[in-house]
Amino acid sequence: MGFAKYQEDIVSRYVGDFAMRTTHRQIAPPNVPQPTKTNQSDQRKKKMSSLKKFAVAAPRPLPVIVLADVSGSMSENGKIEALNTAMKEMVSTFSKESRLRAEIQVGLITFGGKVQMHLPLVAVHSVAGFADLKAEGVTPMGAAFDLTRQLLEDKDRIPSRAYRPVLILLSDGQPTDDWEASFNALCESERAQKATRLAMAIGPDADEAMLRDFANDAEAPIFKAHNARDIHRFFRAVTMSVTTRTASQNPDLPSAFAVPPPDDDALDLDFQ
Amino acid sequence: MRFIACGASVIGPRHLDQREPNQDAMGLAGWRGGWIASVADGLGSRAKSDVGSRRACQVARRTLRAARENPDLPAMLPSIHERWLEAIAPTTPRDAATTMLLARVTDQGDVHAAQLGDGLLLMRCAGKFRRITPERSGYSNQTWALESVHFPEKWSAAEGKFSQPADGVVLLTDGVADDLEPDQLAEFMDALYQDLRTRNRRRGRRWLQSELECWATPMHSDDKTLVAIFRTSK
Repeated sequence: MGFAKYQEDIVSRYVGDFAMRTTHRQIAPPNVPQPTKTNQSDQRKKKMSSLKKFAVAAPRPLPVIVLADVSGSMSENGKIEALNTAMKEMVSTFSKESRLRAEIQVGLITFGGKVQMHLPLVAVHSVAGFADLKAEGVTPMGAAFDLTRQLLEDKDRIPSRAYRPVLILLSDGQPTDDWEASFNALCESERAQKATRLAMAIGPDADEAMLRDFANDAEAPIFKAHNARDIHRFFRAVTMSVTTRTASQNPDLPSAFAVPPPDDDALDLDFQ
Repeated sequence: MRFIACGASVIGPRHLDQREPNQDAMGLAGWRGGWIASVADGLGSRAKSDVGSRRACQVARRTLRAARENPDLPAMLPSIHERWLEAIAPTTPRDAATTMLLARVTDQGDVHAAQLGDGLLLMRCAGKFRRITPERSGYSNQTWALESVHFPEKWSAAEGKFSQPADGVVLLTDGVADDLEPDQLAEFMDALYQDLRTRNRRRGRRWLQSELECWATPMHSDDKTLVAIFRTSK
């Protein structure tokens, strides 16, 4: 058989085959039962190999807990408004972050008159929004430390497989309750002491010595906010630091904490 | 007495993305009718932790192979640490820091095992399940590790005898251990035995490897290593 004959044979075979197929009547597929919700899960179980059943279904959390001073003095010079906007910006940026290797969870504890869990610690993508903070009352910071310690020690809310939590304390004044015992308890308790602690002093009346003792991250000394823009800059630095951590080789390691430079065009009055 | 011994170590998605080596290591070797197993997880924050974990597994095998019939494992730990320091040279202990889990099973089913740092050491003797690893007091990735100083109190050690089929020992690094349901560890060990006993060693390793590569926990990122030794005969 010559080459031309061989090629002709190939062409006729495949072209013919193709033509035959197109003229064939489409055969209806056999009557396959449509999967219902119940038999879908059965099928999944059957397909799933035996080890995957034992894997935890939730990703590892990285808790970020903000302790915000919302005492009466925060209502002056637009501090509380700046805090509200900056917090919402941070939550929104976290929820849009896609290159994550951990689930960022955000919680907000406020202390102004009374201490409350303004935003319970939940995965950031499930936070639809939260009510604006209102500044009123005194500064019960010690009670806020107690609530934070209880949260950090609770293995149901923050499991042992969680990455090291980040605590952020921001205040513009002196605590009005017996905060020292609560602060020491927070710093000495078994799990709570292992959290990364950042602090921001808002305005000239903040208790800087206490905030300096609170901050334990060598990369991030206490940040002083002189105006509303500084509050935004601090939260931007927190956002960058946390998102870098979740994408880094080891999310437990503190990442560089760099506060972005102020925007020269914007005009802002310093806190008095 | 017959055993099935199987292990696999897979690189985690984070290290794959960053084109970095597997920082976990494992060793599994037959020894006089029994088995010697080890797993180690190099600390992610250290520059040469892959070297540290590999050397740890080599040192474990060499030391346990030379040990006498009924070894006092806690008493051997300082020499394991010293040999590891020699093995990693010229790398510094700080750069090569690693966790370590090791076990030796004799042909008579006597088992000795020890652990330092994160991970999970599970054992079943006479049908009774035991978790040797203590509960973690802190958070993920905060761990004790082989470094310049030996801390005997930070090690956990156990011994026992495999007296019936399905008795065994399982060593896991934290990439797997942290993503396991903590109250289902006994069932996990059962499932592992049931799956491995139907396969030969090579197929068992492939199966384990695919299980670890397609891990079910969302956003999992760490390297994963698992070694298991089970008694199969009555």
